[in-house]
Amino acid sequence: MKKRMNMARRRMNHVINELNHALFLSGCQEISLRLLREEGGLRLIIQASFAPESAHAMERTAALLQPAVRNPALVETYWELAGEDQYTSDSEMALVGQMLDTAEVLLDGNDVRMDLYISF
Amino acid sequence: MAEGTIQKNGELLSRKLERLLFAVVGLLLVFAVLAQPELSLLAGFLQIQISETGLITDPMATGGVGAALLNAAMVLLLSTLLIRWMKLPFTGTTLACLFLMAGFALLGKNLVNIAPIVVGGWLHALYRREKFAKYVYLTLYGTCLSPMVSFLMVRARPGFRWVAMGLCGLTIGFLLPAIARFTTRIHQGYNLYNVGFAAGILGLGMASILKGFGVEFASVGSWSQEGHWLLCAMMVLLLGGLFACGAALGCRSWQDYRRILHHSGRAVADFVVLDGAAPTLVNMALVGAIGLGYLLALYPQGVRLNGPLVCCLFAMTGFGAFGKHPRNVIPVMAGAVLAALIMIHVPITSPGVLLATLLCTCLAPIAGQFGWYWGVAAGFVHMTIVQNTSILHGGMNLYNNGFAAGLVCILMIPIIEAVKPEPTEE
Repeated sequence: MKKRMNMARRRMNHVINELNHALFLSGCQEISLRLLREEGGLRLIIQASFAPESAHAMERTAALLQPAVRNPALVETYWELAGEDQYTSDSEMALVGQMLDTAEVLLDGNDVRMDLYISF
Repeated sequence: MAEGTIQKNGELLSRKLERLLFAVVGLLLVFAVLAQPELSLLAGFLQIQISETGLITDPMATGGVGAALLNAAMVLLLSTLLIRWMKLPFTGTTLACLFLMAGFALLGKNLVNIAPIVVGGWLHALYRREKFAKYVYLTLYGTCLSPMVSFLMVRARPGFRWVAMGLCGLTIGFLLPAIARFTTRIHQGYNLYNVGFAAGILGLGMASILKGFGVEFASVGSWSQEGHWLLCAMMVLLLGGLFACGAALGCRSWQDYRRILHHSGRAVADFVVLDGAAPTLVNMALVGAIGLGYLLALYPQGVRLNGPLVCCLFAMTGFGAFGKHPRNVIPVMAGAVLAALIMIHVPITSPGVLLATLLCTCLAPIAGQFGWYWGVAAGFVHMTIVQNTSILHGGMNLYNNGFAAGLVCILMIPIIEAVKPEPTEE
């Protein structure tokens, strides 16, 4: 269990890095992050307000964080690429979506609320 | 859309892609029988299983065109069943991996030499107390070092050869996943043939150690010229079929397709996850058609389709679901062709150069991320470096172009990032 907790924590760090970067690029002035250790995994709750011109990009982010299929074998190879550099793109956001076990992203006007979960 | 509906759609999509792969197995089987409609098909198939392989060994020269296609069909079938058994979803990554398995069964992989590597990968998962499903792609890709297994099976001392090949395969399968995870950080996702890079490094290490004990790897080259038109017909049917499936699933206009062209292709660009199956299948057909078109354009210079070249077409087509699209592969191929035209000792129709021109497209994300001119530069540098890499692992790494591409990334990515301005934040 300890090993899995450590892995979940490392993965969550990458998720936070990537999402911080993407949200700042979307014109957010303030990002609220709340990280919770629950019995079976780590839960990240993000709240932010994005620039109106980034609405389309944010809708795309929401879709990529809640993919139709999640492929654990894909994540095993590539998860360390998330949040690692100065670029952010669809493919990196899709990788974050694959790394999560569950995700709920709600868009309300220019506000976004994400509830992201990685199990141990 | 509710999470349950999204998942149901995902399962339906996965099943369609699974059926598509079984159809490819069927296509390979039909053409295997068409090429060798007699008992020599089975004899050739057995001959391929027990022969030496490596860069550049054409199984069509070893057992015949039909036998090589039968080998590809069997490798693809068992790999597909393995992924199905692991209960993994079929996405762009799966298509890339399985097309690569089928393709490289036409350039050195066979049922005998990949088996111990797969068991080694399973042992890796067992050791880490994780599900094998997590490592199955890495393990399947890792079979690119299978020529080492075949070499020991054929060349080791009688009585010791089965032990030697078994140990070698298990070692490769056990070690490669760890190295492959590490190498992604080195090239940052700009080399689509990541395991090729990892396998090159492992192959270099193993070849060096074994050389110290008197085992020197050397591959026996062969290059067939038979079956050109039959293989052309097969590729046209395959690519046409993928295009038709994509159109049937809903990609019927430029608007439906063009979104794929805006991706850099940098890993992880699983086009099925990003844009859906329909444009992905059309893209696979188009990327494969670029490769086929290039080879057919060289027909007057004597280039004929054979095992290794069809292997490259399968690799290009498969990665049309995972990072490659016409906009990012053409600049890289242009750079490679330019290098081949300029350099003295690199004739454009030689086997190694043909393979490098088609497989250098694993560097397509460089063109996609930084612009076509950097793609041309990457293709050029790749063509120069790949001429000198196979000697390092004795021709035992079938993904030699992936190995070279990793080195190109180490050389170019820091330079590009140093001279390119950072993205600005609003």
